Amino acid sequence: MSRQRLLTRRDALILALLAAAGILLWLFLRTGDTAHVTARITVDGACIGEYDLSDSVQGTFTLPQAEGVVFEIGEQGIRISENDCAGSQCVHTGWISRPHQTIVCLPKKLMIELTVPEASAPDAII
Amino acid sequence: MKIKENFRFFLKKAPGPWLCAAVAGVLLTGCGTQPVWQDTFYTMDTVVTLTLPASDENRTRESLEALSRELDCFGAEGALADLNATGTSRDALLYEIIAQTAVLEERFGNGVQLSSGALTRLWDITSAQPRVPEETDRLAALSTVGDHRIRLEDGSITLPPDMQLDLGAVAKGYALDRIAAQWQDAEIAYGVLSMRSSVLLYGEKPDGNAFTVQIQNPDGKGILGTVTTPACFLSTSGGYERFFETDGVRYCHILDLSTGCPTETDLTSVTVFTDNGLKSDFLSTLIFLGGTGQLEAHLHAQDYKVLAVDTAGRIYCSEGLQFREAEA
Amino acid sequence: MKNTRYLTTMGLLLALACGISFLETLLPLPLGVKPGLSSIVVMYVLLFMDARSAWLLTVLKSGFVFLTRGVTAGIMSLSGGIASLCVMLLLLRLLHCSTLLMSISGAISHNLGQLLAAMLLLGTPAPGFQLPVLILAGWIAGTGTGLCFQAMLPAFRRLSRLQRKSCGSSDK
Repeated sequence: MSRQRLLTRRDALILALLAAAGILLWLFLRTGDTAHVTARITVDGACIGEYDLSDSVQGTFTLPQAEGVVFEIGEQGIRISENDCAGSQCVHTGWISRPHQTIVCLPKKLMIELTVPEASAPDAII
Repeated sequence: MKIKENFRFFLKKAPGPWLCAAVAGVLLTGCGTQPVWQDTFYTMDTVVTLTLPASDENRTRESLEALSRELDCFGAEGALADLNATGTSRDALLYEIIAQTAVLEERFGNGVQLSSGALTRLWDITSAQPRVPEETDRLAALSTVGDHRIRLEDGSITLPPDMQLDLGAVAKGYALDRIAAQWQDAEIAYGVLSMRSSVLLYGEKPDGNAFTVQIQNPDGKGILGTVTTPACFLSTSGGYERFFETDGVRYCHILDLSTGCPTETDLTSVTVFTDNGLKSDFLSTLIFLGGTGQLEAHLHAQDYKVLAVDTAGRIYCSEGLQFREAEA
Repeated sequence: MKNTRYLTTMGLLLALACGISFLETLLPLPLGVKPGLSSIVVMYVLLFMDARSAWLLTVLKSGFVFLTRGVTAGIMSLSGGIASLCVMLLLLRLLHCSTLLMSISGAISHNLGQLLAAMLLLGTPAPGFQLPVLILAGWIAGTGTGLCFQAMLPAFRRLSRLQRKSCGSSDK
C-alpha cells in the first residue's frame, strides 16, 4: 500500500490509449446522415412500431403495448417525453436523431432504435 | 518475472474475475449475425438462387429440378411433353395448373392462356434461332389457342387436336407454390427462392425484419428502387430480358394472344406481389399485356399489389406497397 | 476475519457505499451518467483490506439496490459492479497499477458491464452503439473518483491503522 502512486508513466500511456480509442470510436460511429432515419420501437424484442422520422407527423403519441409511456416526434427527432418507470433515465436521454442512437427503458424492456434503410444485400433482385 | 508470478498466484487465489471474463467473452462472441445457407443453380430455364437457414436437407433443389422436367414444353420427356404429344394426360400437377389457371381466366379474361404452345414454338424466341413467322403460319397457330376448349374431367385432361400447351406464363409461379407447401410440411422457418422472374419470400427472417426486394430498372441502367414486404410471392414480367432483334425491330418474348405477335405494350416492367405463386406469375404477364390503359383497376385490387413502369419511365405503385425509389 | 471490528467496518463501508449511490440517483445528469463515487469505497477495500471483502461489498450493495430500486436496477448494479471489480482487481494484482488507472478502468468497465447486461436484457446488440459515449464518460468519471481517492489517502491510512490495531487481521 505504501507504494500507491497517483499516476505512473506507463499508466498514463495506457490511459491515453483508452481515451484515444474512445474518441476514435465516437467519431467512427457518428454517421451523421439524418435523412431517411427510421425509429423502431420494440418491447422485449418485438417491434411495436416503426416511424420514418422524415415522413412522420409530429406530436405526442402512446402505444398500447407500452403502457405509461408517452413518445414524441418533433424536429429534433424522437424522444420519450413521459414515463412512469422507476428510473426515468429514458426521459432524461432526451431527443435522438442520428442513426444507431437508442433510448432504452430497461424495466419495461422498451427500446427506441434509429435505423437506416438497409443498404445491405436485398433478399431478392428482380 | 513479477507479472507472471502474480498471474499464477492470482489465478489460484481468485478465480472469480477470470470466470467472469470468460463468460463475458463467450456471450459476446455469441451475439453475432446468424449465417445463412445459399446455393445457386440452373433449372427451369433460369438461374435459381436458394436461401435457407441451414442446408438444403429438405431437397428443395431436387424438387425444383423434377418440376422443371415435368413442366417443360420444349423438352423431350416429362408430363407436359407427353400431353402435347398425345393430347391426353392424367398427371396431377398439370391438372392442378390448368384448373387453377382456368379460375384466374374466369376472373381476369383471356389475355393469358396456356394453349399458346403452337404459337410460341413458331416464334421460338427463347431458342437460338428465333424468327418472324409467315402470316399464314402465325394465323394457323393462333387458331389453336383457346383454353376454354381444354377438357378437365375427373383427373383427366383432354386437348383438342393441334392444340399445344405452353406453361411458361405460370410454371415458375406454380413451382413456388409447390416449394412453399413443401417447406410448410417440413416446418422450415424461413427461406427465399429466387427464379429471377418469380420469387418466393417465405417465413420469418432471423433478424425479424421484413424482406427487401431490389427492382432493376427496365432500361438496364441500375436500380429502380427497393420494395419492403412481409412474406409473399412475387413475379415480374418485362420484355427486356428475353427478346430478339431482327431488321432493327425488337421483339419481346411475351405474345399478345389477340394478334399472335409479340406484344407492343407501353409498359416495360410489371411486378405483382400476392399470396399465391401461380397467381403472381399469371397476373404479371396479364397486366404487362394490358398496358397502361388497363392498369388502373389492378392498382386498386385488394388481394394483390402491383409495381409497374411504362416506356416513359413513369412508375405506378399500388397503395400499401412499400416501395422506395432509388436515389437518382 | 469473523470478528466484530471487521463486521462493523464492513457495515459502515456498505452503508457509505449505498448512501453515496442513492444520493447520486438524485443528481439530474443527462444520459444517466453517474460520477460513480461509491467506487471510492470499493477501491479503499481493495487497497486497504482484501479482495474477498471487496466482492462482498459489491454484491451486498447490489442487493441493496435491488431491494430499494427494483430488479432491473439491481441487475445493472451487479453487472457493473462485478465487471468493475474484476478489472480493478486484475490491474492491481498483475500490474500494480496507479490510482488513476485503477479508477478510470473501473469506471469504464462498470459502464461496459451495464451495457452488456442491457444488451442481454433487451436481446439485441443495438444499445452497443452507445459504446463510445460510455467509454468517454467512464474515463472522465474515473478521473474524478481517482482524484478524490488520492486526496483522501491520508484519512484512509489513518482509518486502516485503526482497523488493524486491535485484531491483527489477515494480509492480502
